[in-house]
This record gives sequence, structure tokens and C-alpha cells, in this order.
Amino acid sequence: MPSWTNRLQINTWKKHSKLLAVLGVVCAIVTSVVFGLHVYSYRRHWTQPKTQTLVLRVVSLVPVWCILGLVNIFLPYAPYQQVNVQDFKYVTQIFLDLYESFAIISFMQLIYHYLGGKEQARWKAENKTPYRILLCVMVYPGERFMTVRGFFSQYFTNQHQRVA
Amino acid sequence: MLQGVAKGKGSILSSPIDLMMTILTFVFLILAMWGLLQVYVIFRIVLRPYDVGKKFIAIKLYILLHVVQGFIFGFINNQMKARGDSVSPVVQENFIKVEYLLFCMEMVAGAFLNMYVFFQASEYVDHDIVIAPAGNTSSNSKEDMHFAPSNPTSYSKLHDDDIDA
Repeated sequence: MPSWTNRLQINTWKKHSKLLAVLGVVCAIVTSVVFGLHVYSYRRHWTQPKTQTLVLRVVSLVPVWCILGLVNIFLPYAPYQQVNVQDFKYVTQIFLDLYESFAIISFMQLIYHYLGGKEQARWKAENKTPYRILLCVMVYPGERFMTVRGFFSQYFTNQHQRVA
Repeated sequence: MLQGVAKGKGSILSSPIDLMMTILTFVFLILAMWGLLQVYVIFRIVLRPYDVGKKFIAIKLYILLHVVQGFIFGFINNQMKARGDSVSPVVQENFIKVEYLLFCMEMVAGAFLNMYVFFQASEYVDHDIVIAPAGNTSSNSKEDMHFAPSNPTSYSKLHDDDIDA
């Protein structure tokens, strides 16, 4: 039997539960509309399709995350009564992390595109002089560095995909 | 990592293998971010006209806010459990709703931030075409054309500086 303080909490929360859901919907609608306007403004000036597609992929992180947040507002765990509340959060967390990885990879592709492609970036990096960071780690820009960086990025992405 | 600390005993990280996998994931995440930062450092002069730093900070800001928020709410939830309070499912459910409502509000702010500060469509308006393909010299399609910022002189100067460096 819950104590009177808990009962008070329950009544207060029940009272505000619908308000939270409504606010969540409003936030999702506003985000989607703003994102739609953003896409529209890009489509009006579609001068660099490849660059702009990559930019829009990165920017789409915001509405997708907002919609996933809304899913969590509506389904914190109600349809999963047998499951711990925190456990359901992990399910949506995987999708949040997956989209985060996708956005970061799109961002990386955008950087490569700005540099004129992967090969061009590699060629430019080869001509850079090595430098030291944190007084101890030497960074040698070039083939080896790009390979190591690519390996870590790849592992990070695969890790999330494996979990999903 | 922060979320793992916040959840503490009895969470998904209670098993040593889960804990190890989480630590490994975060180590690789940090290394990937470090690699991305180094790519930016190496090419910062070439990338200066595109404001890549600002764009990267914008994206990482959303991710950081999400992680910090998860830590704070996880910590509060854990503290409530540790005190032995019998938290009812309704309270717990609404606790998550508040967390994700804040998350949605952050995303609203993020959408405006993207539109007006970091990813403006105006970057692609009224620019002169000064360079044909930087990477692929064989293609002449419109997609491969690179557009310079409004001041082509400074743009070419930046590239010259980069070649000298």
C-alpha cells in the first residue's frame, strides 16, 4: 500500500501525464515543420545535390530523434508490463544510437566530399608534415592514419548494428 | 560510461561481460571521435570556408545533451531506489515521460539552430563556379562541381596556403 506522499505523487503525475504527452506531440510537430521548411529551402536552391543530400542526412538527426523521443513518451513501458521500465528504454536507445552513427558517417562523407573525394583527401594528407599531440602522440597524416581512423569508425558502427 | 555509472548496481551493466563491452564501445567511440577531430585538424585550412567545425559542434551538442540528460535522470532514479522508496509504476512512467519531453524540447531548439545558424541554404545561393571537380577529373556532371564562397580571391588564397603548408 503506497504511503500518502506516494499517493499524492501518483495523483499529481496522473494529472500531468496527458499534458506531458501533448507537449511532446507539439514539440515533434514543431521540429518536423521546421525540418520540412529547412528541406524546402534547400530544394529551392538545389545547386549542389550531392553536398546538400549529405547535409540533409546529417540534419535529419534532429526530427528522427524527436520522433523516437515521442515514442518513448507514449510508450514508456505500458505495453510491456512484464518488462522493467528501464529495459524498454534500451530498445529505443539502440535506434537512437544507430541514427547517431548514421549521421556521423554522413558527416564524414560530407567532409570527404568537401575535400574532393576520399582519394583526394588521402593525397592531400600524404603531403602534410607529421605533428605531435598531447606532447607524446605523433600523428602521421597519410595512408596509415586514414586506415586506422577508418577501422575505428567502422568498428563503432558495426558494434551498434550487431547489438540491434 | 556516465549512464553506466548512474545506473549502478542491478542495472544492465551488472554482468562483467556487459560492462567490458560497454567500456570497449565507448573507447572505440572516443577513438573514432578523436580520429574525426584529427582529420579536421589536418584539413582545417581547406575546410575553413565550409564552417565544418561549427557543424560538427552542433551535432555533438545534441549528442552530449542527450548523454548528460540520461546521466542526470539515471542518477536520480538510482538514488530513489537506493533510498528504498516504493516508487509506483505511474511515477516511474512519468519520470521517463519528463526525460523524453525535455529531449524533444532540445530537438526543437536543435531544429531552429540547424536552420538559422549551422546549416543554411544560403550557403548554396549566388556563388560563382570557380573550380570544376576537385577530386574526380574525369566527370563533368553538375554534381561534381565545387562552388566557392562569395569571395573567390580569399578562397583560392586559402587553397594556396594549404598547398604551401
